[in-house]
Amino acid sequence: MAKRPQRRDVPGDLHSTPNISKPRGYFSGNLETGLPSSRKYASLRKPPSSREINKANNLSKKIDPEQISLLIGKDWHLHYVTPLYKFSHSEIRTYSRQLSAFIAAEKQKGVPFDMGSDNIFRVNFSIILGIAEKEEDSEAVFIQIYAKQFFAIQGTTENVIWSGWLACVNCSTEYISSLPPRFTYFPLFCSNGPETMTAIVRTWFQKTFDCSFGNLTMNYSNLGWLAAIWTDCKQTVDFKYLKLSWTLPLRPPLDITYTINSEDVWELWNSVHKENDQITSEEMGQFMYSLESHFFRHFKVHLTFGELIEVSTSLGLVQKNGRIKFLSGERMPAILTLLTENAVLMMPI
Amino acid sequence: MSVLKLFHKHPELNTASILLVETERQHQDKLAEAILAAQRSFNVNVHLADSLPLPTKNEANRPRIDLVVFIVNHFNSHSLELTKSYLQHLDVMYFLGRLCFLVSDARSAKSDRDILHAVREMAAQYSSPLLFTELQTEQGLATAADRLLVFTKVSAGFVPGVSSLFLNTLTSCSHPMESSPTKLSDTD
Repeated sequence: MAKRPQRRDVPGDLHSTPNISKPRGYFSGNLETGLPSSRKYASLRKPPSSREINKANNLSKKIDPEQISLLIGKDWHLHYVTPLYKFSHSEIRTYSRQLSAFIAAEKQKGVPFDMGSDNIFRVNFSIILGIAEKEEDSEAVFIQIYAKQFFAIQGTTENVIWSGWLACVNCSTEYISSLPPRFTYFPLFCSNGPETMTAIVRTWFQKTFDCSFGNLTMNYSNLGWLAAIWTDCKQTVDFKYLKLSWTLPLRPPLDITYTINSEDVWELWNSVHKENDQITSEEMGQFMYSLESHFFRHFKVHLTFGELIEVSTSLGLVQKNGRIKFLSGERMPAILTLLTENAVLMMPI
Repeated sequence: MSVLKLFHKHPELNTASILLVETERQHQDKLAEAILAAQRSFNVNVHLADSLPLPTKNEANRPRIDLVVFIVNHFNSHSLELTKSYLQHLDVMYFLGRLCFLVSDARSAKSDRDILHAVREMAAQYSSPLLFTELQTEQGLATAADRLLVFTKVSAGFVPGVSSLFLNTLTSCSHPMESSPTKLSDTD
């Protein structure tokens, strides 16, 4: 029987030439330098089987309520980010100026904007303390872009036309410690605002910090976790219903919206969930399976043949294509941890 | 429980049979055509099914099946569950190299990571090869057909000295590795 090939990681400086590691027995060539392979790390890792949900925990304990209100109520578009090179939290004023200048330069170049042609844009970077959970996580950075009319009278207020934030919540310690020095890691980037502005901000980040972005999609199990977490909040925060949306691949495609009363879903959740702070993936799987089989019993439609597109409650809304809206700060750390892990797994390399 | 048996029938001269099982019948037809169009030195019968056990009324006319291919759809979880239940209807001799799993478009954005992981685990559990193919393009279909024909040739016994069990030791899917932080920092 062939010996299982060993994988060798070659951590090295970005500037050194690739090393081929010494072959030992069977060897699967892994010519990687610089950043350690996240995909290899991801493929080695099973999805976590249990999730710690601290019931007493919501963000308002640690963060200024004003700053929380920045995060809540807006429709965020999720992206994953590769590590940033030479990003420093103390230089954020410089970054604000640079980004404003970059936006003005892009406007000059004639890049299409859909925000009106005579606006001045001002950028503000700020740090939100308290989102990052572990010591190794970098503190979250919040970006706002204000627009003001060029010919405006003194004293007119600026409007926020775009906001975004970079966050790292409960990211795995091994991965962060294996990054070469001078790299900062924010796996999750959320943006709200016109797409053209998002593209410009991404281009600036790519040019300045040599990172790359990609869209984050939520798969079935992530949406299931969020449904479970939000259902679990029923004791502390009441919500009326849990709504799940499916699309079945028929001709023409059939959209199903499955709305469940919160008392019923709470009863179901209680019968599945043990009374403690952890939610295991078996419980989550059992919960989703019960909902789907109940639907099958009544309508004779197998929901598992379709795709789960959206999960929403009055605590928040999340869609498969990577859009999320928080309507309450409840259980945010757990949700942000889930999103961060998803971002880390989706990162290429 | 009716079970698809391997050695119940006589093989035919210079002929091999493949059974393609797919719950949703999306890629079967095109793949079958590609197999028939591929270059080969023996005759091939391709049988299509969407579930096991196969209907008993055709039992007499059906030739001996040399290779069973399960085309698993990794965009939803149902296909995987159904495939696992079909495996109960296969004779144990098929698991020694005459069984193959196939997924298409693993790089697609619609693919669910966890389901793909689960398919891989299933293939590793049954020590069978897992083929990643691209069945949307003509080139992809031709490539997949060629790969399946290699397996068929060995299963039907047309390659002297190579048995399907031998090929299986080389092609079976490996377990997606379990996590262990110490493995990552393994250095020379």
